[in-house]
Amino acid sequence: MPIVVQNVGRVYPTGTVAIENISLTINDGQFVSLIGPSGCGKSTLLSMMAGLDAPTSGNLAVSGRVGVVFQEPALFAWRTVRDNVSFGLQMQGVGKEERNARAEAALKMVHLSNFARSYPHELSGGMRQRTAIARALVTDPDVLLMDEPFGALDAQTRSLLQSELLRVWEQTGKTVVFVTHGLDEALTLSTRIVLMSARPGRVLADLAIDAPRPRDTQTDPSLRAAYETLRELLTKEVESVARAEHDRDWEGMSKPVATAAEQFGADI
Amino acid sequence: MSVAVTSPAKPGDATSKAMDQTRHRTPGIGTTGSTVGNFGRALLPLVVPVLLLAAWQVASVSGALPPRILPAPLAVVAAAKALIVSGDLWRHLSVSAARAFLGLAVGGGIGFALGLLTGASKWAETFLDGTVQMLRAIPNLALLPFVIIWFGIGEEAKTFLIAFGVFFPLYLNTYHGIRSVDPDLVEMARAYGVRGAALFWHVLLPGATPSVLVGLRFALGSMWLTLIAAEALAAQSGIGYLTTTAREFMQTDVVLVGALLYALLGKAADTAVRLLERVLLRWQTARASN
Ligand SMILES: Nc1ncnc2c1ncn2[C@@H]1O[C@H](COP(=O)(O)OP(=O)(O)OP(=O)(O)O)[C@@H](O)[C@H]1O
Ligand SMILES: [Mg+2]
Repeated sequence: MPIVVQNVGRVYPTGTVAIENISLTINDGQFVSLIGPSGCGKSTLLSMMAGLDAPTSGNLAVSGRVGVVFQEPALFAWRTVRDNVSFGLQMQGVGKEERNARAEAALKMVHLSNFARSYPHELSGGMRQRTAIARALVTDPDVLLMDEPFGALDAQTRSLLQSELLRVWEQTGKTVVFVTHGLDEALTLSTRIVLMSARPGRVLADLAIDAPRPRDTQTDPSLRAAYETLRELLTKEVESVARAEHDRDWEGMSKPVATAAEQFGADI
Repeated sequence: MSVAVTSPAKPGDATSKAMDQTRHRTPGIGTTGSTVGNFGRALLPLVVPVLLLAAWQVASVSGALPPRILPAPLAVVAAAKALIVSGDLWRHLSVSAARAFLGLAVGGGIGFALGLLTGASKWAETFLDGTVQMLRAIPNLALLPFVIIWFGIGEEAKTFLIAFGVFFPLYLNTYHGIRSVDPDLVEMARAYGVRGAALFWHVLLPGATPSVLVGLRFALGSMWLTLIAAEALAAQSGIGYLTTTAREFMQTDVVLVGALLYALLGKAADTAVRLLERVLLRWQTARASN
């Protein structure tokens, strides 16, 4: 079992309780999407899984190699695409020839072979994000942690990268934890969706999604049903946040906030 | 139903003719007419300086501009030639250049090293940055009386003044360069277990390089100004010595040669930094080679 999260809590030094008592067990080969209102602790949970942050209570164990893709591609401007991709290998002390070969192979997976010698500023936003994905894949991690990796992209590029990611996942059988604000995206990709509550983050719903692929979230009845369930829970959650923030004048606020929350639920 | 789609215009149709004409009028490399135009345009900025030089020469020869005030351009050329032949020019030039670069190496080296330290370590920043910022308020030439008391008027004094002047631009820009390295990059590197020296070499230092080079540019400006002031103070050799002696003998042509030599050194150093930038920051301008 690659990821075990046991009663994990995270309180920041500022006193912010980002996460309160989360327990999750993620199995080999699962594609898990984490969704939840903004600020509920998704990034916090992910960076604890990546070993960049430690829980203040509870236990968290990730077995196997981990690859991380952040919302921003975070590429070195002074390295070529290939040398960006091979960064992790270089840090592991892998020899130049081997790491170049492996970087080229990873670039092939994301269809960027022709840009191996380019610099990041010569790439489009989608190509940069693909470079970051190749960089995460090159060390052949058992677990791929992705924090809103396609958030900043246009719809076409996003759906292209979604299918590339699915293909890589199907080919390699890696475990993927994928933070997203898009219900549609989560339904298209995942085998499991974990919905987190507003801060402090807890697990609100944990759904297995086993609709056949390729999926059409508009027509598949089980996906429609999952969508409705999740949207309803999410709307309630967002409304409760809004109510907490505007409790002085909730009556007057209720209509615009509810509308905003509905939109938020539809495509957060 | 017919839909208007943009299609290639047929030759001879009105719009395409108009477009062809505008295209012809646009100068571009490769057309015979515009090559001459480009050449002429390249010479254009030289017209005013050449006219000025000619007017200056005429004024000097006619006696309207006495050599005591300003020597004739050709007299300056002759003075330069004499200095080259005697070997004095090269000797003084190399002494001045060596002075400048010794100061740069000492002050710039310390500034760069301290900038790296305070940029990379919160502890060093708390400990040192305040002090450096206080010292920065002092213009280096204001220290002149003290420098003379401490070092006399020899080489140490000059090196100290130049070093003091180049220290701050390199310190500040190195510090800011390290500080402004994208935190996302540091976070990403940490996800690969990169820490300490490796983080410094692979992330912080390359990230700070553009800023360090900006600092170097500023440092060079400060370096030449300080050198000129320090050499005017006292020197047994160097361009400053050459001009001071020439001034005493009213050899305005040699004074002007000295000014041109300073300009030459400044230009040479600037070109060197540009080359350095081209090598170190290749990635900023590189185009895909495949
Ligand atoms: N370094 C930090 N110091 C203090 N508080 C923090 C820190 N990082 C995050 N927080 C707080 O912890 C909470 C959770 O943050 P986190 O980034 O995990 O949210 P998120 O679910 O990823 O939000 P989003 O969907 O907007 O990315 C937020 O309230 C945030 O203000
Ligand atoms: Mg986040």
